[in-house]
Order: sequence, then structure tokens, then C-alpha cells
Amino acid sequence: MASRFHLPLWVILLALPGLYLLGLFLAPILYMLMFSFWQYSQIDIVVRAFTFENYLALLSPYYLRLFGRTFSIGLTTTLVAAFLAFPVAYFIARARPAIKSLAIFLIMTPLMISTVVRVFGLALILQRDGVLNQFLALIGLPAILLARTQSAIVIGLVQMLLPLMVLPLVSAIERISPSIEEAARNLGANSARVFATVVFPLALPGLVSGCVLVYTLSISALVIPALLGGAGDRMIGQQIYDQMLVALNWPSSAALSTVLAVFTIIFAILGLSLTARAAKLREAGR
Amino acid sequence: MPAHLPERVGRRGMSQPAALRLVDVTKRYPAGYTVGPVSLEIGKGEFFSLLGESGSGKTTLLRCIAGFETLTAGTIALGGEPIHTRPPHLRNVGLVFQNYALFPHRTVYENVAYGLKLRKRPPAEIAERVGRILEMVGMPDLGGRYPSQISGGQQQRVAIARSLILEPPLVLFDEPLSNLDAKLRVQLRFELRALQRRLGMTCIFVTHDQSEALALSDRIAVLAKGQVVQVGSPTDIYQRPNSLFVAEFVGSSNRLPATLEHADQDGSHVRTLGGLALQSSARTQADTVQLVAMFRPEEVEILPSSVTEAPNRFACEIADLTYLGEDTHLQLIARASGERLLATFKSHRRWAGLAAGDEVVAAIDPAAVRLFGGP
Amino acid sequence: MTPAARRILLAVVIAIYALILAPIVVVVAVSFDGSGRYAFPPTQLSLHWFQEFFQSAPYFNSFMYVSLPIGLIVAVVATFLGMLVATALTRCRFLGRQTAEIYFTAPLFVPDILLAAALYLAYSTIGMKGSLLSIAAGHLVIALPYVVRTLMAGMAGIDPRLEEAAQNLGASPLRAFAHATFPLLQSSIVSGAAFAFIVSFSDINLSLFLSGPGTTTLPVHIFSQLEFQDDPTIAAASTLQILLVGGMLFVLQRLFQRTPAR
Repeated sequence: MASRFHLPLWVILLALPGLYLLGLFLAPILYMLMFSFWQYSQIDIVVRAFTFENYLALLSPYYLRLFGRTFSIGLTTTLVAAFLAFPVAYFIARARPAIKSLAIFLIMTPLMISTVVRVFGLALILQRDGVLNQFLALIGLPAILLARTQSAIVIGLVQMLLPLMVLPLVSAIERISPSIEEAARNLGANSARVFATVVFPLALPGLVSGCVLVYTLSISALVIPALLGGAGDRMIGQQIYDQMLVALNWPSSAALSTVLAVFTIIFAILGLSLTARAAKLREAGR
Repeated sequence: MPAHLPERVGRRGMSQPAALRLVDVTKRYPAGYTVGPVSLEIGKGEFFSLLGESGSGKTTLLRCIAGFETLTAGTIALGGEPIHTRPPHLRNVGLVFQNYALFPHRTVYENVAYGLKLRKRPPAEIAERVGRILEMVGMPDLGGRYPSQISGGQQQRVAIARSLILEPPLVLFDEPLSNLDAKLRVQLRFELRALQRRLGMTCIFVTHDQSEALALSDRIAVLAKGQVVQVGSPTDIYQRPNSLFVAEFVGSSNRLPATLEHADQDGSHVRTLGGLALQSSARTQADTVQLVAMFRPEEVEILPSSVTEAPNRFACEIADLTYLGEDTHLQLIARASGERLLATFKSHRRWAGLAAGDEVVAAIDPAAVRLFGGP
Repeated sequence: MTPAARRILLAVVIAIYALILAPIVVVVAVSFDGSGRYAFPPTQLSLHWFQEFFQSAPYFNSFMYVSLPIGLIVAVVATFLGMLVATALTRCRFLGRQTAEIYFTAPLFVPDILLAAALYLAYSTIGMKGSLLSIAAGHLVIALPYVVRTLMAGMAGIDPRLEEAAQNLGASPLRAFAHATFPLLQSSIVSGAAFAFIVSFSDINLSLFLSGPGTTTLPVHIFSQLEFQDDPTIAAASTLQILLVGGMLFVLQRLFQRTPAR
């Protein structure tokens, strides 16, 4: 499509949005990267002298524990989410259209309601005298103390991120023709076998992209660990916030954010290449 | 009214001289596919078909004329005026799409009235002209319906009405009948032709269906791989194909590789690879040249064995007989050479009791034996 | 599947859905409890906490004068920009179209805490911290990809030949778009705008970093109350949030069969 002004139409259309994202997305992130190499000063907050000290500070035992804790919580979350997502995704993928749209609606809506609200509800359930323990008391079981623990964080994260694992899996499973499963069954496989040998391998691309998404978002969580975790359960997100808005050590916060960003990119690339390989496996088996 | 849109002059009929001239029209795609150079001249009131398979470039050519593809080279002139530099909305050529492209959110009336509304004609005039054109295409009462509420054939008529109401000097049809079922296609074919004759419109009709092209056209251009292979009347194309490609694309054909034995004032004498001698009234240039002899199945005469003298007479065995109601198809094997050929004739002319395995005598008029170069 | 296996699957799926929906159900239930002790199920039904919400200045102001205006601004601007992007990506052929598509949907894949921190730094440097506009500008970045995706899906479903037919009948390219394509996009546009609003209204990470005194969004206020106080008005505020967002999504689903695409 050509336009009147001797500029291709797409340039005219994309100029404004493109510049907007440049100025309010790319530029600030690059600015933050630059910031991470400046010196922190208690008086002026930042001195524009180049230094690596902010990154070196991240190698302290405190930060290493922080990273370890964050990554392990992320891993646990991802594994639990993957495990729970499969049955849901399979159910949705093979459901009748009416049920399918209801199921997708029910799983998408919580995603769009603010995290604080959902965490509030979860806190109400997991508290010492919360709904869960009231229920357990009712049936004569001892109370489970989950408030302010790492488990609570994992539960909260899984609860928030499960839909993001389910959706790519649904797409992947929908692409598996039901007749393949029927063929396996016809050849003598039971449900568990069909899952292990047909559904799981062919749904791998969807699983991988779901895992990357969930893992990336878990390790960058802020609100959930802040409200559900204990004092010793800090994650990277909380540290970034505290350094930035409480301690006002902007360069340090910037460095930590950059490290988080780098890990995000690494996992994304890993995920993409794994997905590609899994997809190739899928094609080869056609 | 907008100055850039052509005015309607006169009550009906063409507002400008309708001759279309394409000179060296070329469209080159970055992927390497090229259509053209194509040069054509289409006369006023002519029904001109572009015939070819998918990928032959016929739709590309049509879209170049309509302005939705820009030319890499060449010119297009409508009524003497160059239009190839004009944007699509200023070209004043009608375009009827293959999938009709009716506005789904507008009624039939609004669809047909769209062009007139753009040209700011008064509502009374619009109403009268819409009514008239809908009646002309056989849909007088459906103005209030939406496209989703009418059948495919009716949608096609609305699409035609929408273009025709503007009385453009040229109407382009992009395979308009291919989405319809066979019976409807034939019916609409005749209606279209009648409409065209009645209005005297110049139109270019793109199709891959050769019987459609033969039935409707004053002239046909056969396209292959982006080039025009032959232009001519249906009779020209069918009876006097200029290449083996055209011969086989339009109608069925028998093809027998042969070599030239000798030529004289009557024509040429050739011998097929299998050894069958054929006489052709065609003249060939060189001496020892590889040829292909081609003749149509309906040109193979089945004679009673009592007839002993006939040009190109040879004995055959019927390998297979297919009775198709009106026609009968025979697969013949020439006794002398073992080569297979197809013969067809009207069933009511067949002699009693022809069956597979029978011996018959075939004969071909030398004028029907066409010779083409090449293996 | 065998009927037994099918029943097990259904049970498991229902249990998992219960896990996901339970907090929301609890919040809504608790907000109607008059006793103020977060009793679940509610012991005395009452709308007291909702009254509290509308009468409490911090809650009401954060809703009415911060979250709502920001959400509306973001909805309108994101829809406009998203329309430009979607048109370019679906109707224009140009080198680097794939890259452009990635560029405009990139914010979906970046954890928003990174953007939040970066914008905080940028705004602080140029002195734009804490205003309604600066929060809206940040929300716009994360809302835009949703609108773009929704509009692209909508436009892909519209036959480009309709615009060509309109042009062929004499409409200039702009008019052809307005007459032939735009009317068919209405449901996509409304959906896109709604998603943009929801994304902005529900955001917490960006708002935590970018809010200032007087520009506290509703989720941020709820967050602050959760950390330091135990006031059941939180439940009412949360329920209102749930009803607004859930209601919009439900209406969208019913009217247009649309759920947000990520």
C-alpha cells in the first residue's frame, strides 16, 4: 500500500507507536543499564563515575543466598505449575466448545484481577486462623501453619501463574490430532501410557514455552513474596524495590535489575531453542 | 460532484471510447516470478477472456488493469488515456471479485448504491438506478436483505450489479463463477453473456475453465507461466492452436510423435514412431525434423469396413468403449503401429454392437492432422 | 478415554480450578461479613464495608481520582496506538515486519518489575515522578501489546478484498478503510480498549514504583493496607475490583466471544 506523502504507509503508521515504545520502554531500560555502572553516594544518590562495584556487591554471601533462594522458589513453582497444568490443559483442549470457553474464561479472569486482591484472599485462607485451618479443625486435623513461609510463596506464585502455563499447553495439545491417541489406544496402550508416549512428547513445545514464562515471572515476583513470605524469604524483586525506593541506592538496584534482565533473556533464548528442538521432534514423528 | 471521478454522459452505454490497450505490460515480483511482457488490444463491446491455469498470471494481469498491482514496465490505456499511473479508485473500471466481496454489514441495496453514493448522486436517482439494475440481474425484491441472507448465486448477481450500475467503460471479472455449483455456473454464464450483449459492455473475463471461455468469449488469450501464448477467437484457439500447449489445454487431443517423410504441394507425409503413415495438409519447413502430429478425438472418423478408400485410413482394435449417454468414447489401438488413440462420436451414430475387442476402421481428414515442432 | 479415567480427570481439574478460584471466592464472601473478623463463611450479611469504602477518602479517591482516570486514558490512547500498529502489521507488506511485530509485543515478555524500576529512574531524572500522566504512560507500555494482539486477530479475519472493492467503486484508500473495514472492527476495538483498561486498573508492580502522594492507585492502596493494617474495608475494595474486572470480562465474553490473548 502506497501513500500520498512519498513515505511508505507502514512508516507513517508505526512512527508514533514506535517512538513511544522507544522513549518509554527501550530508552528507560538502557538508561537503567547505564545507571548500574555509576557510583552510589549517600549524599547525591549517584555520582556519574564508571564503576563495577554495584555488580561486585552482588557476589556477596547475602546476595548469593538471595539468588539461590529466588531461583529455587522459581524452580519449585515451575515444576508444580507444570504438573498441575497438564490435566487442566488436556481437559480444556479436548472439551466441547461450550465447556471450553467457560473453562478458559474461568482461568483467564483471575489473571486479570489484581495480584493484591488474590494474595489477600490467599492470606485469608492460609492464616493461622484462616479458612484452611478452620476447615481442618472442622474435620479434626491439626492446623497447618503456612502463613509467612516459602511454601506460601510457592502456592501464591503457582496460583497466579498457572493460567500462563495452561494456555500454551492448550494450544500444543489442540494440535495433537485425537486420532493419534486413539491409534495408541487401539494398539493396547492405557491412559497413562498414552499420556507418557503420545501426549507428553508432542505437547513438549507448549510445555517449554509455558515453563520459561512461568519461571521468568516467578523469579521477578515482588508482591507475592512481600505479602506471603517471612522476613527470611526475600526474593530478588523485593530487594530491587527496597534498594530503589527505601535505601535509595539506585545504582545497586539498577545492577540487580540488569542481572535479572540478563537471566530473563538467557532463559528466553534457552526456551526458544528448546521449543524449536521439541517442535522438530514433533515434526519428525509425523 | 468530485471532480476526479468520471461523469456519466448520455442515458446509457459507454461514456468513453472503451478500447483497452496493454503495451508490454510487465509485473515482476521480488521472488522471481514475472508476468509479461503482455501486449493486447481489446475492442469496444468485446467479451475477452484470459484463460489459463492458476499461476499463469491471468489474475495478476487483471489486478494490474484494476490498479491493485503496480506495473514494473509497460503502459495501460483505456479509451486512449493512460491509466496505469492512476490509483485504483480513479480508474473507473469495474471489478467483480471471485468471492464477490460484498460488504457484509450493508444491505444489498446499500452495496449496489455504494458507488453512486460516493459520486454524490441524488437519492431519487440512486433509488431508480438501483431498482433498474437489480431487475436487470434478476433480483428485483432483495434490496433489503444482507449478503449473509442470500445464496451464492444471488450474491454474485449483486456483485455484478454493484459494478455495472456505474456503467464503467470496462468491466473485469475475476473467475466470478468458480465458486458456484455446475448447474448454476452454466445458467449464470448465459445470463452474463446476455447482459453483456444487451448493455454492449466491454469486459475481460478471467477463468481457468476452457469450456466457459469458449462459450462466452469473442476472443480468448491463453496464458501460461506469465506469458500470452495465443490470442484468437474460440474457433481459432480450438481449431488452429499455435502450439501443442494450447492444443492440449483447450479441448482434448491425440498426440503422436512423428518424423517427416516428405512434403509436397498437398501437404506433408509423416510417419509416427510406431510406423503409422499419416497425411497432413499442413506445410512444414525443414526436412528431417522431429514433429508431433495432433488431432482431436472427435476428428477420428469410425468407418464401416466396407469403405476402403479414405485418407489416413487405418485398422484399429477397440481397447475400451465408454458410453457416456450423448457421446461414446473409444480407446483404439492402431493395428499397424500399436499406438493408442482416443476417438469420440455422438452415440446415436454408432453402428450396432460395437464392443471392446472389435476391429474397426478409423480415418482422419488431413486438414485435421496438425503438426507441431518438437519431440 | 475410559469413563473412569475421564471421571478422575474431571475431579482433578475441578480441584485445581478450586485452588485458583478459592481466594477470589473467599474475598468476595468475606467482604459481606458484618462482624469484621473475616469470617468465612460470613456470619452476618452486611454491606457495611462497602459503605466504608465509599466513605473512606483514601480508598475512594484512589479508585475514583486515580485508578479510574488512568485506566480510561490508557484505554483510549492504547486503542488508538494499537489501531495504527495493527493496521501496519496486517495490511502492509514490508521488510522486517516480523521484527516489528516482536518489537510491539515485547513488553508482554519482559517482567514488569524491570520496566517499573527503569521508569522510576527515568522519571526521577527528569523530574516527572508520581504524576497521573507518568503512571498512565507506564501502563500504556504494558497495555499496548494486548490491544495490538486483539486488533490484529480482528483484522486478520476481515477480507482485504472488501477494501479493494470499495476502492474499485471509487473510494479513496482512507475512505475504503473507513467504509469497508472499520465497521467490522468495532467488536475488536471495544475488546482491545477493555483489556487495556483492565491491565491498567489491575497493575500493581508499575504502580508501586511510580505512585506518589495523591496518586496512589487502588491496588497500591490495598497493598499498603495489607502490609500494615487489618481493616475489612480491604475486602470490600477487593470485591469491587473483582466485580469491575470480572464483570467487564464476562460481558466481553458474552458479546464478542473474546478472551485476552497473550
